[in-house]
Amino acid sequence: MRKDFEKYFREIDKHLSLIPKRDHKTFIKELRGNVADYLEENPTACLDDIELVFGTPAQVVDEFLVDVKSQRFLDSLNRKNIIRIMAVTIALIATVLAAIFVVDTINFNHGYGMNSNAQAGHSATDPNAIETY
Amino acid sequence: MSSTIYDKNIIEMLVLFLLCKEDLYAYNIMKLIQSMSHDILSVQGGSLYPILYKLTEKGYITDRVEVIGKRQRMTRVYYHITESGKNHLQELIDNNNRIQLGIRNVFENASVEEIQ
Repeated sequence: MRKDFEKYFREIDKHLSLIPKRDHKTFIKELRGNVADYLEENPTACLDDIELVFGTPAQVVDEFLVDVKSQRFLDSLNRKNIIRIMAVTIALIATVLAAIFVVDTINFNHGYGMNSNAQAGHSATDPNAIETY
Repeated sequence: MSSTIYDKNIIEMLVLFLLCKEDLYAYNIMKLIQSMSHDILSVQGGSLYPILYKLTEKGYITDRVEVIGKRQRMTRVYYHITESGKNHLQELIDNNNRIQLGIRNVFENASVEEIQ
């Protein structure tokens, strides 16, 4: 299909990304098929003719979203929200775990330092320190 | 020049009526509405697809996909009316007749002075 017609489909495709991908791909395939039928009957048709018969990308998307904001559309938004919440929760847990790990590492290093001091004779409070180290 | 129909109930009614005769795809339906109304009415593709999907979701019609072209990027989706679709069509026709009658009554009861 001609480049300007491809742009027409791309424009619609881009704005339909809010609805489940499978649904909007199915729709674009059907629209492509019907436009191809139209072009077969009207080989000299230009983009303006296509927009007159099938609607401008904005009109097509508008009509589609108004009517197909049914349960499927709402479900998909809910799914996206759930995924977003899960991602944030996982990120928070990862941050907390990382913080615990860092604090633990610092504490471990601190203990190592103390033992080193003990080894150097600066601290005699733990006579076993040198031996255990 | 034809008038584009935006009333979804009217489009629904015409679609279901046309599907009673044979299975059709969207572009077919658009052409038939225009030709059978003697170019008085037309439906834009953008208005028609959501209605077809809604009717499918509600079980008033079913669809059958045929791939056209080699790259499978284009399909022709044929729609078929179900029994519940036929019942729904009857409801839409009755409702539309009532509306038409109501509109006629309003016009008949209004005097020329009132309109002006």
